[in-house]
Amino acid sequence: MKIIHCADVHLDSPMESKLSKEKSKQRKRELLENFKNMVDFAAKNDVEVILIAGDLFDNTKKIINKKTKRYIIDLIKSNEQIDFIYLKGNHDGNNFLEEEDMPQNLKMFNNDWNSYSYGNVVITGVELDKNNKNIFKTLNLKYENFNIVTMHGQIDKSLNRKDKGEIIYLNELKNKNIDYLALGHIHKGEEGNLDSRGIYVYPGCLEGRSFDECGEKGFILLEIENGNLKRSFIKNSKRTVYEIEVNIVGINSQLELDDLIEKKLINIYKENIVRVTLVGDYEVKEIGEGLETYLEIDKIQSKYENEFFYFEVKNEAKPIINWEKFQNDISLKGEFIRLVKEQNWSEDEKNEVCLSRYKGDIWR
Amino acid sequence: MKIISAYVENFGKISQKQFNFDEELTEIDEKNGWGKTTLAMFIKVLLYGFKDTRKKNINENERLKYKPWNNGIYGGNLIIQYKGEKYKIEKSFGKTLREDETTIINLQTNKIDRTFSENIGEDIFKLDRESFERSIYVGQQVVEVRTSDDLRAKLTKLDAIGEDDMDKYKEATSLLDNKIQYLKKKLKVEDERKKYLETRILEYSQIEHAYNNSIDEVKSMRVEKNNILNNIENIEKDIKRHNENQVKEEKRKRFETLKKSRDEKYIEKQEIINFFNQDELERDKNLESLEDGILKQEDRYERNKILRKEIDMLKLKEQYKTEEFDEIKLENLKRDNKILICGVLALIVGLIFLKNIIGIILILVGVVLLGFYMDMNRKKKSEYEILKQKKDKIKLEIEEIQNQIMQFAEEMENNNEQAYEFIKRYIKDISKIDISDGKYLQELHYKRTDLERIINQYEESEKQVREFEENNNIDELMDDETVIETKEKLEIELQRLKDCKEILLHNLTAKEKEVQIFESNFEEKQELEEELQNKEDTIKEFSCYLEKIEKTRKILGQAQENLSTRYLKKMKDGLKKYLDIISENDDNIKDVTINTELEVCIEFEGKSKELGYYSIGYKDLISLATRFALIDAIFDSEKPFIILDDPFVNLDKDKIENANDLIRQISKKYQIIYFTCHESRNIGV
Repeated sequence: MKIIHCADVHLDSPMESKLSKEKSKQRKRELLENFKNMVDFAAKNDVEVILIAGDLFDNTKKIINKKTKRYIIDLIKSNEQIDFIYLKGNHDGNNFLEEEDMPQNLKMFNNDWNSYSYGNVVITGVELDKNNKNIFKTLNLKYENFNIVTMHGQIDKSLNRKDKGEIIYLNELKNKNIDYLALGHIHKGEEGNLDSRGIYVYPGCLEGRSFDECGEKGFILLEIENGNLKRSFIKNSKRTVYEIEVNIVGINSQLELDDLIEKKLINIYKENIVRVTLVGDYEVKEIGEGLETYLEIDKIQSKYENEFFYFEVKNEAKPIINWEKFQNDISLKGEFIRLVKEQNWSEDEKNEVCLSRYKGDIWR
Repeated sequence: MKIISAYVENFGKISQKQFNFDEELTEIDEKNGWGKTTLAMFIKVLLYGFKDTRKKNINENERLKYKPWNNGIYGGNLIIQYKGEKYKIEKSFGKTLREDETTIINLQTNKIDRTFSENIGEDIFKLDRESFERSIYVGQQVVEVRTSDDLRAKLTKLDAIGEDDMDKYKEATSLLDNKIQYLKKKLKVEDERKKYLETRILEYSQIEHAYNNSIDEVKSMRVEKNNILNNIENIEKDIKRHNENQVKEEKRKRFETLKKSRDEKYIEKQEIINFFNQDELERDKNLESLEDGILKQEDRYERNKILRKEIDMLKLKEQYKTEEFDEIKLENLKRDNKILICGVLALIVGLIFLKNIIGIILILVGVVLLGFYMDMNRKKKSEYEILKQKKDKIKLEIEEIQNQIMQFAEEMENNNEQAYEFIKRYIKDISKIDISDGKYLQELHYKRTDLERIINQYEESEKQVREFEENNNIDELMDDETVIETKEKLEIELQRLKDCKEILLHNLTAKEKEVQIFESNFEEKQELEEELQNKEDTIKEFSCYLEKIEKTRKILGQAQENLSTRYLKKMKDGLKKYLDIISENDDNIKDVTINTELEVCIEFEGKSKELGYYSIGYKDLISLATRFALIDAIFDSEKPFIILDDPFVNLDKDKIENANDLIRQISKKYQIIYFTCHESRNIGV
């Protein structure tokens, strides 16, 4: 039996804010097409179930775009041979349910365990909320089945940022006969072992929407035969987001910088979304002679702007100013620098002001 | 730096003249029109060149103004001493800057010195033309110390670093200011757009509130609709029940009727049966025999009737015959004597009258009559015989009749008896019957047909009842479904509900349309919200940027101020010193202040007033002192020369004395070139 596991599609979500309006709209359309491509793939490859582990949409309070909703419903209806199992995530809200003509092959969950069986493959899921934190205890699965359990949230191992999602306690899911824990919420994609029997997988989002979603994106194809699982990652994103770091320490001219950047960008297909970040710590010998003051960043910007779908260059190189050197400079510069040092700004701000980073137009 | 000499080839009205200058003070006292200003101009131009302008107005275009009146070579040379070395600066001017030629010779080596630019003044003093004019050259106009950027820059000692820096910072300041302006404008625009977006979104949000309400309304209307439909269904069910009950009722009634009818029939049947002897009357079998019997009795009855009739007839006949019998005798005995008489008479007569016809006739007649009579008599006799025979016959007949009658009567009697017996068998209560007339039999017959009829009817009835029972579930029939409300009430309620439903559906459709419109609007709202987010991000970025630039600008300005303040003190001290010299005898000048813009305020009779309030003479004097103070502050290492072009024109005698003192003081430090046109203003050394 073949199953597709995907999550975090975030249809209609606002795109990276620096995209132009048209490009933003285009991206949204592409996101929808992307989803359709996945469904087409499923149809061509005899996939029986598409499991969406949450965040199909992106509107908790707002209203889901009717057209999008309609499109998705029609898509589901025109693929009757595939069951769409849809687990709502923290971005999904309830608006989807207000349609009165839900397709037959769309299966949903609620805040208690529900299962859908396909022979001996059983897909069980629950929508976590504030109130059902102890739901893990009541999970009962049969040993002889191939059990897939689906949830949307943050596993308790990596609590490194403030998350709006619910927490999934992996320890409480051990030894419950779970073969495959189909998760959603982490856009990056992650996987690991659950217990001796099963694994957990975050497929990541289907398409990168901002610079924290870099790299190839797609969905997981599961092939289950006689209780054995074979899984593969199918790349499905139309455009990939790249964040390229370029270290400018030791570079002495614009030409050198150009070459370096060119080398790094050479393998990137032009339809993609790229950000080049200049990094590096370097010592400032003379004020007004910061490395980047003679590096024309706006030229880089305009050079590659039309090479890619979206391109931006960010300067995050860290200069290190030797403040002591300017103590006895009796010129305006000296005075200026001494005054800057005295201010209670951040190091970055002081650097910026001193190095005349305001010079030239760093704004597009 | 000191000027040693100047040679003017041709410049304005000066032509081929040599001037030598003293190290300290050179006084040139010449009449008006001699060319003092021209010479001053010459020195300046040799050091700085002409201003590059296309203006044709000679007051604005010095090149034109000082073009030699004769048409000789426009130019000359200047010998200066700078940093211990002597240089000769040669210049010749053409119509434009490009045609100008400059040669600078180092007089020690007699080689052309290329370290200086064409405008050697800038190289030496690190001041541009404007600054030079405003510091070193003190003209006749109202002296006002103005600060140019370069002056300020000079104040801030940038020459220690290099001109690039100066450029940078000059540039930086104006760049910063421009940027600040630009950003502020941009921010304003973005802010306006943001406000616009916020307003629009707010509108949408308010609509969103309405939208949510609409959604709730739609939901509740749908619920209500379902309720109403349910209620309608229920009421219709109830009404149906009512109707069913009604039907049942009717059926029941019918059933009752049928049963009643059957029962009645039964009773009737029983009655009639009761009329008959029950034992004898087993319906199926004996009804036929009863029928037969009745028929038989009827036959008998009929027969009796016939017999009676016969008897009556016979009796009548008898009577008649008897009468006839009786009648015949009388008749026969009667002879018709009349005829005899007549005949005889006739004969007689006739015989009488024999002669006559009549008589004949009468005889004839008489004969006839006699004939008749005889005939008759004979006839009568025979008749009598016949009649007697007849009479006898009749008598026989009568007897026969009587016999017959007797027979018949016997038969009748027999019949009656039999009938009676029969009836006795079938009828219980004999006492009532009277079989003498056919009425009873008829009654019997009726009764019998009645019975049959009743039996049939009963059976029919019974059949109907059974059929009814077979086709209907009697238990169900008996059991009415209870309905609480009456049918009328229910129907009223139903109508009301249906009306409600109509209105509700109408409203619901309208609301659903509303919701649809909202939802299509929200797409736009989402776009606006995205734009707003973008705008907010942009505004944030810009604001951040602006903040930084403003900070930079502030710091820069502050740095400059710090520095100038530092030098300000120097200037103030210098000024005080010079003013003291000037105002030795003048009690009017009590206190002098000077701000960073180098504006001077003097305290006069207790009030501090700007320079502008004072007379030109005062102004000139104080401005001069200020100028000297400035020069002191600026020119630390390389002391310049100072050209004073009759600056004391407006001073009174006392003041001139003071001014001269001042000049003498200054000349110790700086080389002074002093032009005047009146001896009253001679300084003397």
